[in-house]
Amino acid sequence: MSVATEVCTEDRVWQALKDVNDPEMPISLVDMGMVYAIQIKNSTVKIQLGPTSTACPALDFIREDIEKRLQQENIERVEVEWVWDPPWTNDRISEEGKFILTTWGVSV
Amino acid sequence: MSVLTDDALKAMIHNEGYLVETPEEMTEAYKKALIQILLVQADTELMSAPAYYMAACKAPSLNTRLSAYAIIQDELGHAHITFRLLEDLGMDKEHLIFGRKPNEFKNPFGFDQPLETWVELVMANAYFDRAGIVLLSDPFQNTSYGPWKRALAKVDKEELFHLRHGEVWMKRLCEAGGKIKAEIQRAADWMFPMGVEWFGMPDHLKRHTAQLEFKLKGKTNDQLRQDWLSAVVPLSESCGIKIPAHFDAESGHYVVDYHLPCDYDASQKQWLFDKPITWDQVFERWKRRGPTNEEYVNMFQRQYKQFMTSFNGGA
Amino acid sequence: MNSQFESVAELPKEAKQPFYDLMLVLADSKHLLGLRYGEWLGAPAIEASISAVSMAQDEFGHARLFYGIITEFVKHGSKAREEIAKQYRNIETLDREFESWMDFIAANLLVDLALTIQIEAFQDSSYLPMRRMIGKISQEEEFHLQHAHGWLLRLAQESEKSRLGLEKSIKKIWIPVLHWLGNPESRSEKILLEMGLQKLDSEALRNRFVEVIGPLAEEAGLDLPISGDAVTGEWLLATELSWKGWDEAFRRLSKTGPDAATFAQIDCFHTHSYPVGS
Repeated sequence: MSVATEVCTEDRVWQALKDVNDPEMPISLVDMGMVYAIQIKNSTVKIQLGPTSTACPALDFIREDIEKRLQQENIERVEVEWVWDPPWTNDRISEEGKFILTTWGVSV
Repeated sequence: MSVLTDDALKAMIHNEGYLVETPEEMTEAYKKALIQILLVQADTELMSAPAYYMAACKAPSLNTRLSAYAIIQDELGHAHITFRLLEDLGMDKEHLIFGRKPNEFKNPFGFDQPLETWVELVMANAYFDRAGIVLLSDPFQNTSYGPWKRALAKVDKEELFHLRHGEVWMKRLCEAGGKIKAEIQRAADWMFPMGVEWFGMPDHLKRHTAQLEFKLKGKTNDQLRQDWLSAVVPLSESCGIKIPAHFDAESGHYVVDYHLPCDYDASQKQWLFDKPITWDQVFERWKRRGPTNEEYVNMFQRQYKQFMTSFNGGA
Repeated sequence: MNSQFESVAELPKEAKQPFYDLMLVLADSKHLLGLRYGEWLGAPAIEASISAVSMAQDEFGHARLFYGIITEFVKHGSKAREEIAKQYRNIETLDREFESWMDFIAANLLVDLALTIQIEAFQDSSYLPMRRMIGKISQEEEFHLQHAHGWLLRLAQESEKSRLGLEKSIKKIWIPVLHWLGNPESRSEKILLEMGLQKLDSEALRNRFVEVIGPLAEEAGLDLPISGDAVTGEWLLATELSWKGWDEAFRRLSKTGPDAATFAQIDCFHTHSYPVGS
């Protein structure tokens, strides 16, 4: 087993995902409320994400950005799963995220 | 209108970092220069939409078509924001969008050209949207007009998505090699010099303009062109795409390897490097407009005209 | 008590064809609705252009989900990709470009609503992946209905000429849309209902459709073949449907398919040489 599994915790993945922004917004995936669940099994990190829309054009970018960030944590095996239930809504954006969006001229 | 003189306003802007917020604080000359620069931005965003749409019709998959439409929506949104700013300055938004003749639109020559393939869309994202970012991040950082500066925060971020889309695809298609890479090369051959010309007359030929004096923007044409080259040249080189420009270590600048400006054969999408021309001739060519100017403007206006005449009994 | 299914592979044999047909009809219709919306880049107002392009993306997003299920059929070898490309199964009213903004709004209201009503009939479906995705689709469709509603009122109130124009555009697609919601006599529908894949029969879907359109038409003062009123709250369809020649796999009478200009856009998906991935 790799070193990564020993130190890799769900909490650390959550922290790392706070550095990954939505490609079209100045807000992290976590603050956007897009991260639904993180599971670590057999040295694979499985992340469930709720896209903001079915038409999201940036799914590939989001996946790549997550993989890149987690590589910095020596986490190589990442599975991203898109989930629709429950559907993502504006309510999932954190207070901090909402504040940033307001200063950015987007109403939430 | 402001009681200040132009010189007093300029001094406040340059010395105190003064931000103009309302038409009441502007001088006549400030307002005129502001409208001019905003109109170029609004028209550029607006006319990029039909250009990208033309290419989106050739998208090779549903996912790629989705990305193209997302970009088109962003561009329309940016145009909308900018026309709203013009409205605040007393301009008639409806007339600006639906009432002007095709040759009255101020978009650059590059968006008077047909984007005929997915490759050309990708390259427009990589080259033209980079030009857009360079041109807009300047006022975002430097402009003295507050409402514009704030509006550009969102625009800037969304344009970065388009750029990423362009660059990722450019790299992916170049890696495929063969015919596909040759297609990228062909697109670069006409689109790269188009981007170089986009930034207009070199500084040594151009007087300082009102736009700079009022700090509507902060950088000169040559500085902006350098910003663009410093992103686009390394990108192209890393993809193995040949472009007529290089970094000159001695001067520390990027230089183009042909006489700028030169003639362009729009019907063949080909630059005639052996036919140098003057900037006056460039402006004449821009004024004559490119091949799709009317088509793109009609895409916007056709239905409005039909709608107004058939349902309200006259436009 | 129905069983539940987590994938195409788990579906009972007799349910596969009807389910596949329905998924393809939905995917192709959503795809083409998106194309049609997108053609209105030049709507009569820039705000409307933005909405049109935005709704187009939603439709593509939904189509992507349904094509995802079709891809499963391909993976399991029960369907060939070439066959799918050849038979385009969009709702008849989307074969060609909308002729006017009235046509756009008529489709925005009727066609989009019919698709949504069909999709909402998968609420509590025995096909679990479907159950999970319909919430998001419904959420996005709320805006489409609001958009159609807003323009419906605006056009109906603008002038008599524009109200009559709108009525004409609606009547032009009225029958094909009602047909599209399904034939209660169809064998496929019976199977889908028996297996719990779809929870409402086509008559119920048409009733739902009329219940939504009725009040909107009354509010806008449109004369449509619906009886009933806001007081009783009962809305009945005053249109006789003939099912002669109706094809249950395509959900339409004529199988002519999209026109050449449309096909050119769809064909790009199959004739290009770019490395686009799956």
